[in-house]
Amino acid sequence: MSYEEKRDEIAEEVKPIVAHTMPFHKKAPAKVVYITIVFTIIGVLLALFLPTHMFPFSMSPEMHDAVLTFVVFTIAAAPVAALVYAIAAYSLIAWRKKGANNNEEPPEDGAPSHGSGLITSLWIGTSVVLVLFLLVWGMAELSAETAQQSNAIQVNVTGQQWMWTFSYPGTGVTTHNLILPEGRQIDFNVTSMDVTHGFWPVEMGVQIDANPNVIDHIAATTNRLGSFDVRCSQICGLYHAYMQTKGTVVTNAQFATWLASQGASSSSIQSYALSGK
Amino acid sequence: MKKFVWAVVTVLVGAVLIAAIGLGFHDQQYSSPYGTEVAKSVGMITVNGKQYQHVVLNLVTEPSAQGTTSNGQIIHPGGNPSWPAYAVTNEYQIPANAVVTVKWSQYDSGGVVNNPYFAKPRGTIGGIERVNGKPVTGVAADNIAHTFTLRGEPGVDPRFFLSVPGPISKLGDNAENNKGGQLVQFSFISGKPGLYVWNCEFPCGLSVGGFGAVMSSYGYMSGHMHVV
Amino acid sequence: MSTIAPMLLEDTKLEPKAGGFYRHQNFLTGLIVGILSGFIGWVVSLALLQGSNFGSDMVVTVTLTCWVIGFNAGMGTFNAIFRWILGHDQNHEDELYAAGVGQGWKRYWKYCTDHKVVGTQYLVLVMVLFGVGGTLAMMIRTQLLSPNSRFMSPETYNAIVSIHGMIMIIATIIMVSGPFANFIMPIMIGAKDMAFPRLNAMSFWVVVSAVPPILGSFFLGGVPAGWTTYAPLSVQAPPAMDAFAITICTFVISVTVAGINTLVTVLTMRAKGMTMGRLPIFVWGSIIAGGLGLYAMPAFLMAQSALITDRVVGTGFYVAEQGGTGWLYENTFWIMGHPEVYVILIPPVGALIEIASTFARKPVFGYKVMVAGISGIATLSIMVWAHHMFTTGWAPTLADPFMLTTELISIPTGIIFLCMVGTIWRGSIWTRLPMYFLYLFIFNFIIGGITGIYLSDVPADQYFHGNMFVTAHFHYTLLGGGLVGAMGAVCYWFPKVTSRMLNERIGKTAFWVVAIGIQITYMAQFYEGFQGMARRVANYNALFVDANRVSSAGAYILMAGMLIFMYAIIHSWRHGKKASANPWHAKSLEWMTLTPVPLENFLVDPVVTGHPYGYGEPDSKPVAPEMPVPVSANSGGSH
Ligand SMILES: [Cu+2]
Ligand SMILES: [Cu+2]
Ligand SMILES: [Cu+2]
Repeated sequence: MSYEEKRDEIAEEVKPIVAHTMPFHKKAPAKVVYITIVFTIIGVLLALFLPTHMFPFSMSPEMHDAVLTFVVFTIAAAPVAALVYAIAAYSLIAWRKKGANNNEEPPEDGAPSHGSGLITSLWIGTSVVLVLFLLVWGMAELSAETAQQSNAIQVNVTGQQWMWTFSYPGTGVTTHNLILPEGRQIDFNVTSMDVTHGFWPVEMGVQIDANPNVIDHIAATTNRLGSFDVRCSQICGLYHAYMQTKGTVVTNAQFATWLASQGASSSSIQSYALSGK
Repeated sequence: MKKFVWAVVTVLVGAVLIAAIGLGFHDQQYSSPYGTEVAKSVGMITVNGKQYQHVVLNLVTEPSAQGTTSNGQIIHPGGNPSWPAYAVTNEYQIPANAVVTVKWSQYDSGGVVNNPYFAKPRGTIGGIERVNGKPVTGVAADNIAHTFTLRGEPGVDPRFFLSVPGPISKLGDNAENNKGGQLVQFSFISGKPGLYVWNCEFPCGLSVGGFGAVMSSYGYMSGHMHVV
Repeated sequence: MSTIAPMLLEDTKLEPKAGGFYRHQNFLTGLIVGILSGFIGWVVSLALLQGSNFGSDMVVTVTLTCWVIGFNAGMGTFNAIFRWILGHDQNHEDELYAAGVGQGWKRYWKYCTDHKVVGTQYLVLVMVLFGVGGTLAMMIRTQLLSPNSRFMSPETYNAIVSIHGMIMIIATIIMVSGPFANFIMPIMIGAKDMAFPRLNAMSFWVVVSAVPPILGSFFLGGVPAGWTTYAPLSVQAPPAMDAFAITICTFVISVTVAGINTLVTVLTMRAKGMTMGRLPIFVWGSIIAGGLGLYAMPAFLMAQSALITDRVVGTGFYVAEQGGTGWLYENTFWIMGHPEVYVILIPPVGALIEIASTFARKPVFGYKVMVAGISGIATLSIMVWAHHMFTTGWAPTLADPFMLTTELISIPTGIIFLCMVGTIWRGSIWTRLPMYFLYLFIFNFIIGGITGIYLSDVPADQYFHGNMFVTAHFHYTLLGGGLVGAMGAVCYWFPKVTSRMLNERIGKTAFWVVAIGIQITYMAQFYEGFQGMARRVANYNALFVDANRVSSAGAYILMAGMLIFMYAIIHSWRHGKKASANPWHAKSLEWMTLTPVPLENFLVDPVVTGHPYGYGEPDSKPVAPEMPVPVSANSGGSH
C-alpha cells in the first residue's frame, strides 16, 4: 500500500472520531469571507485617502503615475492580505485550545487534512491573474513614460562628491540650483565625475544613477510651477546626506529671462528653448 | 516576579552598555582641540543700499596637517602629515544676515579642479574674489589648491550656496606650511541661522576622483559653520 | 558501530594521547596563533610594500589574511589534512576526541566535530552578532533623533550604517541554518552527524575569524559605502574597505562549506525509510537554502576579490578611467544579493511550517505544493537580481523582463502563506510561545511582501528606490519575517538544544515588546519613505523629524524587547525547568530521541515508516515500532 493510500485510509477511519471531537463550524468559511471583506474595505479606504497625506505634491505626470500605481497596487493587494489575516485571525479565535495539565500538554489533534487540490489551484490561479495585472500595468505605464515628446529640452546633470551642477547645452549656463520651464518634457542627461550618485528630483517622481564616464537618461515632464527637492539617492561617501539642492519650475518667459541673467546670448536662448519644438 | 526584575535589569544594563558604546562613537568624531573660531565684528556696512553687520573671518589652508600655523599651533595633533588641512580649526561661527568678509591665507599646492564650475567664485558679493588684493572673477581651473564651499545642512536655507577657489601657493609643488601664501579675500551675505557645512571641492585626496583619503575624512577638508 | 551503544561513548575513557594535536588547541591558541600570524604578515608586508602606491591597502589585506589563516590553524582546522598528508590519518580515538568526548563544557571552545556542539556554538555566535548589529542600529537611530544631529560625524555615521548592515546580513544568513540546520536537521533525518563533521566545525570557526576584521574596519577609517559597498566608491574608500572585503571572502568560504555539507548530509545520510517524500519541510528548506547559497555566495566572493585587486594592485575592474564599470560590481553583487535574501528566509519559513503543524496539531497543508513553492522561489530568485538596478541606468530595455520575473515570485510566496494558514485552518491551536512567532511572521511578512510589489514596478520604484521605504520594506521581511521566524525556531527547539524549557512568561513579554517595537519603528520609516527621505543619510530635512523620532522610539522599544528575549534565553538555559524528550508531543525524529541528545543521536538506528505530520491520525507511526522511543517522549513532562 502506498503512503498516500494508507493516509487516505487512516483519514477515512478517523473521520467519525474527529468529527466528534472537532465540531467543524459549517459557517466558518462564510465568516472568514465577511472578515476578509471588512479588512479589504479598510485597506481600500486607506489606499484611497492616505497617499494624499503622505506623498509630497506631484509636479510631473511621472510622479502622478508613481502615486497612482501605489493606490492601484494597494487596492489589488488588499483582498489578498485581508484573506490571509482573516483566516489566521478566525482560526485563532475559533479553534484556540488550552492543553491539559495547565497547558503543558497539547490539546487534542486537529482535522487530519493534508490539503486541498481545489483550494490550492484556486489560490495559485488567483495569484497568477493578479501578477499578470501587475505586470501589464507596469509595462503600460513604463512605455508611456519613456515615450519621447516633441517639446523636450535637454538638461545635463553632473553629480560629483558632494554637489550637483546643472547645465543647459548651448547656452553656456551652469548652475547649482536647478531651474526648469513649465510644461516641457525635460530630458536629463546624467553623469558623474567620481563615484556613483543617484539623481533624484523628488517631486518629479523619477530617479537615475549618475555613473562616471557614462551618460544616463531619464525624462520627466514639468506640469506645475513651484520648487522641488533634488537629493542624492545613492550613498556616495562623507557628505552624501548634504548632497542636495533645490529646483524650481518657472514659466517659459521667466526661464528665458533667467538664462539671460546668467549670461546666455539671446540667440542661444532662442535655439535652446525651441530645441524640442 | 523576581524574574521580571532581572529582565528589567538586563534591559537597563544593555541600555547602559549601548550608551557607553554610543559615547565612544561620539568621541570618535573629530572636533578640533582649538574649538570654534568666531568671526570678529568690524562695525556696519552697506551693500546694495541695505545696512548689515560686518564681520571678518580668517581661514588658513596648509599643506601638512601635522605642521604648525604661523603662530606655532600644531594643526591636527596626531593627524596624517601628508594630508592638507584647513587650520587651525574646522569649526567657524558667523552671525546670520551679516556681511562676512573672509581672509583666507592659502599655502598649499594643487592642480586641476574636477569641475570648472568651482573655478569661479559663486555666491560672493559682486561675484568676485580678491587674490592678493586684485579683484578677479575666477582662478584658472588648473591653478587651484582648494575651494571653500559652504551650504546649509538639509532644510537650512536650501538656496544658500557659496563656493570660492583658492590659487596654488607661490612655491608651487614645493609648498610648505606658512610659506609662499596667497591671500584670498571675499565677502558674502550670510543666510538664515542654523548649522551649515563646508567642504573643499578640489580633488586634494587620492584614488577615484581624488576624493579618497583626506577628502573622505571628516575634519581636514570639511567642517561646520555655525550661523547664529 | 551499532553494537556499541552510542550513549556510552560520552563516558568512554579515551587513550591519554587521543586527539593528538587537538589536545593542545582551543579558542585561546586560535587567538594567539592568529594574532602572531597577523603580526608577522604586518611586519613583512610593511617592510616590503610601504611606500608603494597601494601600500596601506596591501598591508591591511596581507595582515588580515594572515590573521584568518593563523586563527584557523591555531584552532585546528588544518590538523586532519596535515596528518593525512603526512601519512598518519586520524584513528577512531582521535575522531572521538575531536567530537568532544570527555571534554565537558570546554568542547564549546574547541574545534569540535559534533554537529550538536557546532549548532550550539552557532546559536551563541548569532546572538552575539545580533547584539553587535543591534547596538549599531541604536547608534543610527540616536543620530537620527533630530535634524542637524551632531551625535556622530558623517564619517562615523556612514561607517556604522555599513557595518550594521553587513553584520546583520551575516547574522541572518546563519541565524537558522547555523544553529538548527546543524543541531536539529541531522537528527530530523535520523543521521548520526553531518556528512563532513570536520568541515562543519571549520564552517563555524571560519565565521568567527571573519568577525574581527569587519569590526576592525572602524579603526581603519570606516567603510563609507553601505553594506552594498558599490564601486567605485568602495575603490575610493579607506583601508577599512580591505578589512570588509576580507570578512566577506572569509564568510563566503564558510557559507559554501556549510551549504555543501547540508546538501550531502541530506542526500546521503538519511535513516532507513526516510525517503525524500518524508523529509520534514524544515529539512527541505535547509537543503534548498544551502543549494541556493552555493549558487549565490561565490558571486559575492568574485565581486569582493575583484574589489580587493582594484584597491591593492590597481586592476580597475570597477574604475571608469581604466575601462571598468561600477555596473559590473552591481550585477555581481545582486546576483548574490537577491538569492541571498531567500538563503536567509527559507530556513526560518521551514521552521515555522514545523511550528504550524505541531501547534495546530495538524498535518502540513499541501506538503508537495509547499516543497514546490520553496523550490520555485529559489529558482526564480536567481533570475530577478536586476530589480535592484532599475534606476542604475544599466540596460533599461531589461526592465520589463525583470519586472516579470520579480512579480512572478509572488506566486510561490503566496503558496507559503497558503500552506501556513491552511495548516492552521481547522487545527487545534495550542498557544505556546513558538506559535506566537508564527502569527507575528504572518502579520509582518504580508506587509513586507506587499511593499515589495511596489518596488518591483519600475514607475513606482522610480520614487521609492534609494528611499527609506526600501529600508522599511526589507526590515519588515528580514527582521519582521526572517528574524521573527528564527526566534520562533529558538523557542521551538530550545528544549532539545538546551534540555530545558524556555520560560514562556518572560518569552511572551519579550514577544509583545518586540512585536510592537517592529511596527512602530518600520511603519514610521515607511512614512519617511513616502515623504521622500533618502536612505543612509547622516542628516535630514526638518520635514522628516516627527517620523524619525517615532521610528527611533520604536527602535528603543525593539531593543528592549530583544534584551528581554536574550534574558529569557540565558535565564532559562541556566535555570529553566528540565525538558522532557518531546515536550510538544511532536512527531518528527528529533523528538524521538533522548534529551540531552546522545553523541550519535540515537540509541538504535531509527527506521522511518511514515511522514512526520501524523496529527489526527491515531494509527500514524512516524518510526518503526521496534525503535525504543524514550519513555518520556510519549508521556511528556519530566515528573
Ligand atoms: Cu551623491
Ligand atoms: Cu582641498
Ligand atoms: Cu531582490
